[in-house]
Amino acid sequence: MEKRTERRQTLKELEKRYKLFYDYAPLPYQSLDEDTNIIDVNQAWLDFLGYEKEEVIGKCFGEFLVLKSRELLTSRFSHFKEVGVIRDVEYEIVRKNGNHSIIWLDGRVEYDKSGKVKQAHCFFKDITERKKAEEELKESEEKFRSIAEQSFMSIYIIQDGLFKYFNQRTTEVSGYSREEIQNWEPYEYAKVVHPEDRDFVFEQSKKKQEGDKDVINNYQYRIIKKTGEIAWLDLFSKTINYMGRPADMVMSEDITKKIEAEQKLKESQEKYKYLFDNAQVGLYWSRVTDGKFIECNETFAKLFGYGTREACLADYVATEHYVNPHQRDEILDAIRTNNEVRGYEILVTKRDGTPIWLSISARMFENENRIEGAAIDITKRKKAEQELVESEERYRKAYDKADFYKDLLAHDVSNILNNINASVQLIKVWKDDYNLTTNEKDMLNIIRQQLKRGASLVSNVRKLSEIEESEIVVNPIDVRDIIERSIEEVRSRFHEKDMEINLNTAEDNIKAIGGELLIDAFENLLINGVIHNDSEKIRLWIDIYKVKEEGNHYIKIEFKDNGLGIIDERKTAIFKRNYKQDRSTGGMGIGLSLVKTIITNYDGKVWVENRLTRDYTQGSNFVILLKEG
Amino acid sequence: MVVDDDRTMLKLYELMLAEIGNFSVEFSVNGKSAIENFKNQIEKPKVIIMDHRMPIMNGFDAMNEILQLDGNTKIIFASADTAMKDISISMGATAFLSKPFKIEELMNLINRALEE
Repeated sequence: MEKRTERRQTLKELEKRYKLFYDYAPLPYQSLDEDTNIIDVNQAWLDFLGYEKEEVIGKCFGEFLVLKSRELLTSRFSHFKEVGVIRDVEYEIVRKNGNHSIIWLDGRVEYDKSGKVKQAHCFFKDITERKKAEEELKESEEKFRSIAEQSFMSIYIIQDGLFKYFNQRTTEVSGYSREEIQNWEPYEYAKVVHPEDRDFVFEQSKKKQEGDKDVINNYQYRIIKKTGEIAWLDLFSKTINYMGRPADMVMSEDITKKIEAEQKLKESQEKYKYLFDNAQVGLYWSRVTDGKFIECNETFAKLFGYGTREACLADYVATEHYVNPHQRDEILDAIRTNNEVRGYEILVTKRDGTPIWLSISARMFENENRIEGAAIDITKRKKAEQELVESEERYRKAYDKADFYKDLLAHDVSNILNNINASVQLIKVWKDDYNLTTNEKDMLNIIRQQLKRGASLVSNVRKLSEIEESEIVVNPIDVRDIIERSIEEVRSRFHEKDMEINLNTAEDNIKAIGGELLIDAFENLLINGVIHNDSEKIRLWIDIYKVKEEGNHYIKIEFKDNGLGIIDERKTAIFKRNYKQDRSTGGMGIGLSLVKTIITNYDGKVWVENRLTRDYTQGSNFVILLKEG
Repeated sequence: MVVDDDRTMLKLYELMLAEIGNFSVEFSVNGKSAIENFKNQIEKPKVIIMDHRMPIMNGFDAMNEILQLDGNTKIIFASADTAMKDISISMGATAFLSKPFKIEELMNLINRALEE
């Protein structure tokens, strides 16, 4: 009995001690009966919720909860009563002032001897701030994910050699699927890095994952995609605290196209630089304002007498070397007017003062104060042009002189011959032949012969001039008729000579393509046969017949004589128009040149053969071929 | 009338014409003086021997003007240039005298012109 009393006394003491513990505990405490009605609360509970003890004892704990939490309480409390313990159960509680708080509740059920629920002892702690922080973190993470997933950059977090997070772009750039990346072994990602860049990239990544501060945050490197293609990435990364530990957060951009474009640009620049440096044309950039050269190639430097472009750029100022100082303004005006100039010719001087003609093609970038252009040395061409002008002038003067002599011959000499002719005739009228001595008669004959020769020369010069200066008109001509008229003229002119002329033709009507000058050609050939003939009896044969050569029909006319003949070496030269040579070698004047010119103008041919094949001394055979008309 | 800028030729014409017949002859040294001479003559020359190339005024222009003054005037055009023959005839010349010529040719052309 004493022991029981003693034990009861001990229990009461314990109860009192626990009661004190609950009452003065820093966390809110409540004891609930089996229907969740409040049996007791401590001061921390009352302070937290803002009630007096009398206002809460006997009330259901659910009355202090929001509806959703109240429903949870109902459902969870049955389970609580069965298991006897709950930990960190979350409820939303409403204080007297109306403010809501999130609490985590821990509890333990006290049973009586029969196992029936006696009461539940519960503590709770206010986790509102923590919950709010968690919400904010969650929201922040969602924002990050949203941004990251839409980013054009690859974004990923590596920790312990594993991809803890990566966005969609990471899979697109690498070519590996989300599942493949997630299943990589620690540091397996290194296989994606190009072998030449792998050591560096791996070292940097590892350092960042370990929180090492001696790192490089931005660099470019290559990866090998799953397809085997190489891609260039521009990487920005740093160490972050992820889940409480250091991790490597990476943002990288695929710059393959940019790198390729840069490479192409570089190649293009190198190519153009090669062309620029090796061009055979002088290329330059100069300033608009003062003409100073900014850039030029070696060819350009050499144009001005410099050994190197550097020397040229350092020393040469174009504005100081224009022979005509106004020409720079003129060329600038021309560029401004037409946006460019092509082949603009200027005269400048080299560094040593030597004049040089340049052909300039240039365009202006006035807002950049720059002219770019090409220069070609045209000094030789200009010199040649000048020489051509001078040559033309010389020829013009020579032509004028020739024209003067021709005019002199055709008119004045002709008048002189005419006067002599008239004088001789008057002497003959005044003095009969029998009153003249033999010598006087011979002299008068010589004068008459020379007059004829002079008149013939004047006539031939005039004809040649006409052929050169006028357009040749051709028609079908009756060849026989013209030859008969020529024979008549020659007979009249050389009536004192013992002469026999035979015309042989099988046909009466023979027409050739020619013109009125044919009679001059024929007369000249006949006269040639007479005057270059020492035979006592002069014989001339003219044969006309039709021939066919190379499919074409011709009229062939042969003028044969028993004259002095022509050696083979002279057979071509006698038709050439070299009066001096003809004179010095005892030639035949310009008569045969005239013949050649006339026949050629009628699209015919003329040449000379021996009358008898093997012996030129037996006379000549002048052959004319004219197209049949 | 004889028109020629070569005074030697004029002298020779004078001598030749004296041999050919009994003519009254006037001489001019260019086309312009020939026209003046022609205008001043009360009795106009029946035949004119006209050279072509002369200073101040050539034979064509002089012939053209003289024929306008008197279309019945007979003009014998004389030149060493045979290309002038067709042109002078087409312009109204009665005949063409090709230099150098024989006295007989000159005589024949004058007689023929006078007969016309």
